[in-house]
Amino acid sequence: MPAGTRDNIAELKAVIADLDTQLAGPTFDAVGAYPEELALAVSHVVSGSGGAPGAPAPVWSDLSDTKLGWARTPIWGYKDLQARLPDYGDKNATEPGKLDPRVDRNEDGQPDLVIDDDTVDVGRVLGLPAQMQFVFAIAPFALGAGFITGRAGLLVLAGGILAYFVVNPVVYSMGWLPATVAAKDAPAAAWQAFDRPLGIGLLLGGAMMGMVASLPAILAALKSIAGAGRITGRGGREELGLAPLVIAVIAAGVLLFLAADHVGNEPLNKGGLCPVTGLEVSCAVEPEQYGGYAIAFADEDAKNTWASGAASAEAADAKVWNAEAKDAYLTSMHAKRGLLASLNPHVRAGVIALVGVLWIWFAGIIISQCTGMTDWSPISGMALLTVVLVLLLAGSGSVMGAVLIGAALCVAITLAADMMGDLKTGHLVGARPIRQQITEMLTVPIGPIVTMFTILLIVAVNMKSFGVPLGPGTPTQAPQALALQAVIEGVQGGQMPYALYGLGAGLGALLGLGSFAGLGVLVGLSMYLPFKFIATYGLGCIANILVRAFKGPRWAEEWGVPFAAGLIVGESILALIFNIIILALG
Amino acid sequence: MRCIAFILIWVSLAAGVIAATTAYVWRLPPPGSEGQLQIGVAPDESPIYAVLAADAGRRTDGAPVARSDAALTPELVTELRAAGVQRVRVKTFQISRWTHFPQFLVACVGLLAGAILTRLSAARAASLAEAAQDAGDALGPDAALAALQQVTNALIADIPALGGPQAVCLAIADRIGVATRDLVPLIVDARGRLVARMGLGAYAGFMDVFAAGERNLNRAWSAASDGAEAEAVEALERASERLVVAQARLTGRTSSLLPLA
Repeated sequence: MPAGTRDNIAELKAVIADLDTQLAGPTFDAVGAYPEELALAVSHVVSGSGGAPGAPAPVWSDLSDTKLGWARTPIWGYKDLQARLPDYGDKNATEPGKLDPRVDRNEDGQPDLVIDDDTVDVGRVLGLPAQMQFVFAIAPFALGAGFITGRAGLLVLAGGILAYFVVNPVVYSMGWLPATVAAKDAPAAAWQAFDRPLGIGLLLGGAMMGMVASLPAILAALKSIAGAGRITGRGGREELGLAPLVIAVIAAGVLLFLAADHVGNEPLNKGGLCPVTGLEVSCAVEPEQYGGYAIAFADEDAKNTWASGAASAEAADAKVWNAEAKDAYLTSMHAKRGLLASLNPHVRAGVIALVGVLWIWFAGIIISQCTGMTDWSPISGMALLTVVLVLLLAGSGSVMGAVLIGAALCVAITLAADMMGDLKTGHLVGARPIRQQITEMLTVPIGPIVTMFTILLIVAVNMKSFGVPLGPGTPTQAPQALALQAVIEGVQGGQMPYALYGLGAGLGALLGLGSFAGLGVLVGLSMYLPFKFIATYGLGCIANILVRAFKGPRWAEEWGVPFAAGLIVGESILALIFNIIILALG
Repeated sequence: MRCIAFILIWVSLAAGVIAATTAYVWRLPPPGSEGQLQIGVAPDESPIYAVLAADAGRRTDGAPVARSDAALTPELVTELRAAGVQRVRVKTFQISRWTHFPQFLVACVGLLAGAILTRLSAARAASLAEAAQDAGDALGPDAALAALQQVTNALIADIPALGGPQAVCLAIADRIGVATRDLVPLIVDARGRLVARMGLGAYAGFMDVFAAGERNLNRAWSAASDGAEAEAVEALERASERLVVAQARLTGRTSSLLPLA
């Protein structure tokens, strides 16, 4: 044995022993506890590749599949019922050994699920064409809302059927969708491309016509509110008078003005780079206004160069800051000029605040109509429109201001929808509206606090379960945030389908001309919402009609409505309880 | 007529929505006219072409012939046509290029006709209901309101003779419960008839005070159910006052609640 070999062997043995110790340790135990299949799936998610050839790449949310062994004690889901389509074998398969693509769209080698955790796909069971989406959301709240609405909600269902069973299939079969869109993806593509914009337009047009038709009633209501302050008969005043309303409107206008003025005067390139020198901007230099935006600079020289339109440096290829170069800079910042770009910044903020107050009032009417008729409130659609409106007025670079006013609108119209329900409930038990109104005003701050707590709870649960606070990869995907991002990018890129909004508004207005002024709003709502919710909602409406027919209207009111209300409330409470349990038990 | 109106409305709506979906769909020009898809001229006098809003065409391997955001230059148009593409979805709306604009207009006319028909039908139904009420065939809103008033006033008159608070509460809960269940819907459901008769402004004025009366009846019932006799009686008396004003507004005699003060 050569000299030193014994020492080397001893050293090698020590290394192996150390590795054995490490492998037996808690870290490696934990790693080893995860099944190989899960590790492979993680690898596919990270690399963006599919497991089987041709199969779509899995995403993070796929990892929560219990088949992969993600959770040792998973919460039971409808998916675990493993209700799958009947296996037709491989008679229509494109490759030998593969299943018929009608039953295995995701090409995972087994028939697709009919029931997953969120939906029941009845259309596929019935063998409907792929471009016809007949899916029910497993959403007790939608079922309950449909039951409470009853027969009137059938118009929403009719609108959904029109959009998803007539319009979308026709558009697909005519080849008006991109040829790369497969039949199974047609409903989603159509919803994104035109159903949703047309739906929002229909909502707007229908609501506007409804408002015009209701002007006499609105005037009478204002007269009544004004008179309410003077009625001091037996029992005193029943409602708040006009004065609190006027004060609230003025306060809202002032707050919106302050917000718009503050955010509007923030430099477009705050915390970024100087357009002239390319250096970090300085807070000490007063920003310069151009094209409706405040531009920050690194130093006074750079600011003077910008303002004078001179060359930016001594070099021969120095940039000359003429109007064209400045416009090019704005374009590079995705900041198009707004309609109010030529106004003084404070005047612009004032106009935006005024438009904001009027728009919030109008959106409040739309939301109240929708809530009153169907229990649905298209808040996100109104918020997206607000963002578009503010971006058009202030310029596409004023994202912060637009989102801020959009958030204000969300809060305001959510309260409007809430008040609709509260006043109705109060009416049924004879509550005095003035007490309800005062209580609502005093308790408004509780809502945001509870909401923030709930969001923190959801974030904590998601971080424990998925390692991601919110968004893709979690059950709380926050799709509206992505929709908002898409809208902002759409405005900045000039891709907003304004014509579809306008055409939808025209159709909505014509629908509202009939004897039922709310028809435009209902049809718009049905095109704006994904069909799976409309279908479940429609099921609730039909259940109401059947219960009334077989058990009588009184039974439906006394037993059915409380049960339906329980479905609406219970779903949210159950979700909250689950989150608390997950958080508590880890 | 109502049925025809609804069919007309839904068919027109379907046609209008389908036509509207093509607002951004442009037909590719025939060979030799590829430059037709130019939508403007840049400051440097270079042509600006329409831009695709979605992928266009499909190759045999499944990939699109042209990706979204691609400019429809004459070369690309030629390539797309060669791939069998006839229409593309673009980001620009031009009414002159909207092939289904006439269909959209026809659909609008259909919706307008449907709206007029439904209004005529509603007016006819309202006048028939009025006639039926006049003939005494049905309990109309006027009679229902009068009956509601009568029940309320009779109950107020009976209260001193009812004995203890428990009997008063029982009577209020019983009689008001039945009255609100049977009579109030007759008034609320007659909205169309009343609007046709009074006009929307006057109807809103009537409903304003009627709703206050109904709310007080609900409060009386609610308080009586809880055994709060004094509150129930007070609410009942307030309801009676509101219903008198509501009756006056319904018949057009007066329109103010202020005298109550």
